[in-house]
Amino acid sequence: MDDIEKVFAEGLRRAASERPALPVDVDEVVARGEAMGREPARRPTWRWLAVAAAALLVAGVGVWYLNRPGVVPAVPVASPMVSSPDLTGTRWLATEIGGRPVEQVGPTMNGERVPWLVFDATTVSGADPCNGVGADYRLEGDRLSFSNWGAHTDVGCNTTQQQRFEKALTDTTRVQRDGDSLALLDARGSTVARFAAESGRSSPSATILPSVAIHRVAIRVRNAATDDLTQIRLYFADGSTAEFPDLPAGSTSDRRVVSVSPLVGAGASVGGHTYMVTDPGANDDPLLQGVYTCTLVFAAQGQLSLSLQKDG
Amino acid sequence: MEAGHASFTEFVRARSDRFGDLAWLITRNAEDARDAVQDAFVGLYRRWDDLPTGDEFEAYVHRSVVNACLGVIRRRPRSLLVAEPERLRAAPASPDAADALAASDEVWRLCGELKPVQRAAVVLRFWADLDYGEIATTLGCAEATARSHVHRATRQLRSRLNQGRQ
Repeated sequence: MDDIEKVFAEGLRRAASERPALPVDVDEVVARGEAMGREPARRPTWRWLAVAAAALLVAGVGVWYLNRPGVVPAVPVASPMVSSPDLTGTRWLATEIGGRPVEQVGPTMNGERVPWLVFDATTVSGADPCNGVGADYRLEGDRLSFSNWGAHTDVGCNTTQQQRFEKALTDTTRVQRDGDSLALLDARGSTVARFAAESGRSSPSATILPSVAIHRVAIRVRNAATDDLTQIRLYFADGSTAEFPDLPAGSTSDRRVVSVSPLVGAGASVGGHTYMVTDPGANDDPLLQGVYTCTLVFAAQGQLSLSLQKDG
Repeated sequence: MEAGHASFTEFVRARSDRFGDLAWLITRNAEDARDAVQDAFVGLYRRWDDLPTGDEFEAYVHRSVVNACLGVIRRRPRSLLVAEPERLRAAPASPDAADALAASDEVWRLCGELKPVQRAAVVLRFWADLDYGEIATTLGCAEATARSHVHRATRQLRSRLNQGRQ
């Protein structure tokens, strides 16, 4: 461990030692667990593994699977055969949906022409591309499922393709990644959609869509504080900023349409003192198309809190 | 089930502190940390009779807590604390105890600026002392991705501390 790593370790150790008390109510845990019902871990049972092992031994490769290091079941289940592909950190542009090449639509207000998806650790967001989409996802080995699809608008720009895109996501049970290509498959193993990484040049759309100006949203700022706010500025991950006019207590600004990536901070002045956001880590989700209200509240203790809600 | 209930209660008592530390370092918020710990324990309780054993159990538990933390962060309103800019300046680093304290503050501050999954990787590496393979397993990502998360964070910290010395 080098010096910097030691500093990291010591800093975290000290931060942990200063944490507030976090009492755990065992009765509440048990009550919630019982109310939700027992859930089998659905990990591979030893009986199942024995069957799999026998089959693999017959195939001549079983020993390798059984002895490979680092095999740990995911939560709640991991495929014992396939490691999970890394889907995060890439904008996936659709190239084929339902067995048909993607038809580009006229550019949306965000400059988008094809459906796309972006995965973070636990959620997926994207667009069809005229309506934003978002859901939770679970990736276990190569098994991929979506849940909790959020409400979205119903703007039609290529209705047939939009319906195919929605069906493809609904039917998806597995995923395969090969470099800059991604394929979603249904339960029968048929490919329901193919994507190309935006940074790649294999997709025609990748050369058409600019990497900026994808996330264009309208934002307004509401001053929910009892003090007037001046020098209001929002900061975004792509380095852009949005300035807003001074806001008397209780007032709301007009909407501003800006090209933004995730909101990573804010600044405002109260009584001549400037305050800055210090915890942008909570805001790593891309902003989907739409109107957002950014609410600022100034507390007497000298803390300013910021919340961002999507309207409607 | 009584025996299972008793063993689970004992498990909660034994692990609450460590779970609390881990959740606090990742969520950086007492309420969120408490929710994450409770959620993780609830999930483990529901599968208590069918959990893996040995090292697999520890990996499963780690992953449960980290997933609960990331879930809480994702669900919570986009709420950010802000502070005076004077408090945001990089702290110098030197063998001096006061400066070491400032460096620790800088670690905490930097962690607050990391994306949650990157912060989780850093915490698992430098606080939980997991190797990159274990971190990858816990986060459900490639080992190279886990290594990249941690490397970028250490590079940022090194840069900041160097700036503080200048």
